[in-house]
Parts: sequence; structure tokens; C-alpha cells
Amino acid sequence: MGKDIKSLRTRIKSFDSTLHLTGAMGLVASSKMKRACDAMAAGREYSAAISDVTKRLASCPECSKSPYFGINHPKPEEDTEDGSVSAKSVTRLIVIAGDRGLCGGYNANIFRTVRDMEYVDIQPVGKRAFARYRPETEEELNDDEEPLYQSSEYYTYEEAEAEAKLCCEDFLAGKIDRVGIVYNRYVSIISQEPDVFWILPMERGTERCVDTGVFEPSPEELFGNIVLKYFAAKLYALVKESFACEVAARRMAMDSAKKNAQQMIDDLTLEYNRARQGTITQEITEIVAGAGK
Amino acid sequence: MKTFELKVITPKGAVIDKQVSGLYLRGSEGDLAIFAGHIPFVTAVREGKCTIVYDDASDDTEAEIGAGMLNVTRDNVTLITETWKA
Repeated sequence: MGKDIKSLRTRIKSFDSTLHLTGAMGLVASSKMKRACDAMAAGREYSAAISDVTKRLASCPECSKSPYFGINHPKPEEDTEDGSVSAKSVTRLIVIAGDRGLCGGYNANIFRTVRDMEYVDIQPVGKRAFARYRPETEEELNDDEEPLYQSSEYYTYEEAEAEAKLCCEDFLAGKIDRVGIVYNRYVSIISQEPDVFWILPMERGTERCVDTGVFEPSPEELFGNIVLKYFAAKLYALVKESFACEVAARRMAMDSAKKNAQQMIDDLTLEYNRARQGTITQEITEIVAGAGK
Repeated sequence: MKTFELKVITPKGAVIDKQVSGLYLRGSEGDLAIFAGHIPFVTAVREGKCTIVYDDASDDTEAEIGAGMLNVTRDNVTLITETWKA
């Protein structure tokens, strides 16, 4: 019995330290939450402003022949519900995952979405995505001096621009004909959903714009210029959104881990007290029995 | 002097969202100024100096801006730029 009590005490102690750890991680996530949400809002605002101009340009007739609409490429079949497309299209995916684990299903959901899709190559963003899709660089990933991966937490607009340039060049050269961004959509603080945003080929403006106004330089030239900016802005905004999701997911995961640890401690404490009381009762019974002889 | 709504947006969020009376900057085809009642207009913006003039007595805002886009509609003006250093 004594041994049992001791092992229970050790287990309670270990759960207690887990409780502290998850509590601390939850607090870190909470403190990052506001900054992440602000960055997400700012990124969204920027990309919305660019997308306004892009739509305005896309609906003007001069731009309708732009290669960004994918006229020169074999047209992929319509998207089905699960995002699969005809095998003919050459799809590049930009996969945004987190830098760290311990955030519930955040990374797993992204990888599951990617697994169900057909693609040719992947551009990862975030350490976890790099570790999964660029396993050959994994050894270097642990080297903190010069990270080879793009961090999803400290993603800069310049990085987004470089990525956009690369994709646009490959698209125009005909190496790829679809580019999708796999990211987590921020629904609310307790809910995030993996989603795919198809960025190239560009969507044609549906409404005929009457009041297009004056363009300087010509609309075609402007359009070529703005697609790059639109791509960069959208990618930047989605990375920021994904990071907000990661922080929210980690907070939720840590909250439930904390709750579970507390539950385990409560159960074990009950068991421990029972065992302790059992020993005492037994001792008393032995003494009483001894005295009665 | 008539004013118009100007919004300056960078990847880090909106920097300016105010009623202003004039905006001076460098477009792709040369220097330009925007006042209230400008026709709808879209242009690429070059990096350089940007000056915003207000209707009231407050001082002009001067800033170094990065490359970007200027979108003038009938209701408002949006300047989208990568960097903004006041």
C-alpha cells in the first residue's frame, strides 16, 4: 500500500508540472493573440484595397487578353467540392503551416487538405511545412543561426513579394498553370478552417465596368504590374491570417490540456486520499485487534 | 477649399484615413496632384516624396513612400504603398 501511495504522489507531481507548462504556453499564446489579430486586420485591409483596384482593372476590356487570365494555358476543369482538378493542370501549392507544434489540429488539418489534392510542386511557408515538404533540409532546420525556412510568425511583405514574383514568372513561362494557397481561415477564436485560395489564373471581372476612368500608364501595363502586387498582398494577408489561427488554436489546445491535467490531478488526488485513508484504517484495525487479545 | 476622403494603406495597416484638401506625389508618368472632384483615375505610384495638404490650419504631412498604386474614385482616394516613412 505504501508503494502505491508513493507512485500516486509522483504522478500527481508530474501532472502538476504539466499543468504549469500548459498554463504558461496558454498565456504566451494569449499575449500574442492581439498582435496577431492586428496584423491579420492590417493585411486584410491592404489586400482588400489592392483587390478593389485589381477588380476595376480586370473588368476593363483592354485587360481581357492578359496572360494572367490563363488563356494560353489548357483550361483546368471546374473545381469540384473537394478542390480536385483534372490531372492535366500543373498546380503549384503554397502551403502555410506553423513554426511550432502543440496547437491542436492546426498543422495536421493543413497537411490533410494538401494530401487530398493533386499538385506538382509545393512552396512551404513555416517551419512545419518545410520539415514536411522539404525533408532534405531538415537537418539544417535545427540550425538556429541561419534559418532556411520562412517563418510564418515573422513573415515579411518582401518575402511575399519574392514568392509572388517567382510564381508569376513561372506562370507566364507556362511552367505552371494554377497557383493555390493552402491556409487556415480565421472563423473565430475557437474555430479555424483549412481552405484553398486559387490566386492564378486571375478571375475575370464579372461586372461590366462603366465608370473605369483614366489609367496611367495603359491598363494592360498597369494590370501586369498590379497582379504581382495583388499576389504579394494576398499571400501576405493569408500568412498573417494563418498565424492568428495558429495562436488561437494553440490557446484552445492549451486550455483543454490544462483542463485535462486538472481533471487528472483531481482524480489522482481522490485515489491518493483513499489509499492514505485505507492505510490509516488498516493500521487502526491492527492496533485494536492487537489490544483485544 | 473642398476636401475629399484620403486613405493611405500599407501592409502594416491604414496610416492615414482623413478628409484632406490635396495630395501631391509622383506617378509613373510624372508628378501629379489630386484635389476634390478629380475624375476616376488609376495610376502606378513611384517611390519618392508624398505631400498631403489639409483644409484646416494643421501642418502638411510629408512622407517618403515606396512604390504602389493610386486609386481615385468618385467618392474617395486610396493610396496603396509598400512603405510609409513620415
